[in-house]
Amino acid sequence: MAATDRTALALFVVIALLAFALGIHFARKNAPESSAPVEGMLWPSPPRLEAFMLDGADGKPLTEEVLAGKWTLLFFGFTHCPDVCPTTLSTLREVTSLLKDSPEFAKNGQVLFVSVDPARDAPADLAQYVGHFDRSFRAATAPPARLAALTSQLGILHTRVKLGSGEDYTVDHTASVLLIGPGLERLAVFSAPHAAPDLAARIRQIIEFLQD
Amino acid sequence: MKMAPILLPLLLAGSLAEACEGLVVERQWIREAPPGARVMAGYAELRNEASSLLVINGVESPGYFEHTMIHETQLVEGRARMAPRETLEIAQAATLSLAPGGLHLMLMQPVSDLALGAEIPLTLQCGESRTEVRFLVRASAP
Repeated sequence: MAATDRTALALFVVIALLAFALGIHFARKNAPESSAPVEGMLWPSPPRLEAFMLDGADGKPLTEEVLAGKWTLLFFGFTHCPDVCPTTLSTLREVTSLLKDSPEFAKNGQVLFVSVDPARDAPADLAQYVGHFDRSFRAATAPPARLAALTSQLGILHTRVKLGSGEDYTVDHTASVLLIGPGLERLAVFSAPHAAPDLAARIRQIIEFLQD
Repeated sequence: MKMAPILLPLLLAGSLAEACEGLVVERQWIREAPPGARVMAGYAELRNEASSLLVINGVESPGYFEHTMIHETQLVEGRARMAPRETLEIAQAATLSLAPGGLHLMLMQPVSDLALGAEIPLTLQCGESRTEVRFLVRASAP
C-alpha cells in the first residue's frame, strides 16, 4: 500500500473510531434517564380499575370516584386479624408520614383499607378500626357480590378458615399493598413483608417518574 | 379449723407450679389495638438457657383474654395465612423470635380495652410447668 494510502486509511480508522465513540457518548447522554430501578411491579401500560361500589366507613358509598385524582394505597384485610393487618396499617401510617416530603403525595395521597370479612366488619366498625391508626385513613367493605367486583379485578384472594370446633374463623387473604394512580391506573403491587422506608421510597420514585 | 393447716399447704402447692426450665422471655409486648378489637397479638424473644429442648405447649391469660393460642402467620405467594401451632420448640441455647409477620400469641376476646402502657400477665405453659410474664401494651416493638 502506498504511504499516503496507509495514512489515509489510518486517518479514516481514527476518525471512524472517534465518531463511533462520540456517537455512543451522546446517545447515552440523551437517552431518557431510566428511572432508578423500581421493584415491586410497575406495569408499563397499567390497566385501569373498573367501576365498583363499596359501603364506606363514613356511611357513604365508596366508589371508584373516591380514588380518582388520588394516589391510593389499598390494602385488604379484616378486623379480627391479630398480626398482619395491624402490622400493615401501622406500616402504612409510617409510610404516609415519611411521604410528607413528597408534595404530590402529601396533597393527593390516601390509604384505603377494605375488609374482606363483611360478616363481622360493619362499615361503622371499620371507622373505629382504621381511625386508631390514622384519622385520615379510609375504610370500606361490602357484601360478597359487590366486594367481589373489586377483589376479582385486582386478583385479591380471601378465604375463611375455621379456628377450632366452634364458629370462630380467620381469613386467609392477599397481603399485598396496591398503589392506584389518579387515573385509576393499577400502578404497582407491593408484596408483604413491608418496610416503611422502603415502601415510601418506591412510591416516591413512582410518583416522580410518572410526573415527568 | 382443723382443716386449715392441711388446706393451706395444698392451696399453696397449686399456685407454686414450677417455672419452665431455662425459659428466658425478653422484649415482650402486645400490640395496642383499636378500641373494640376482638383479637390482639403478643410478641417476644424466647430463649432457652437449659441444656435440653424446651417445649412450650400453651398460653393463657385468665382475666384478660377469654381465649389464647399460639399462631403463625405464613406468607405464601402473597397471601397471609394463619396457622395454629400446638407447640413452640426451642433447642438449648437457641432463641425463638415471636414477631410481626411470623409466630405470635393470638390473644382473643380481651375482657376490656387494653390501654397503651398496660402490663398484662401471660402464662406460657411447658407441660406441667408454667412461667408467667408481664407483657407491655405498646404501639410498636421495643
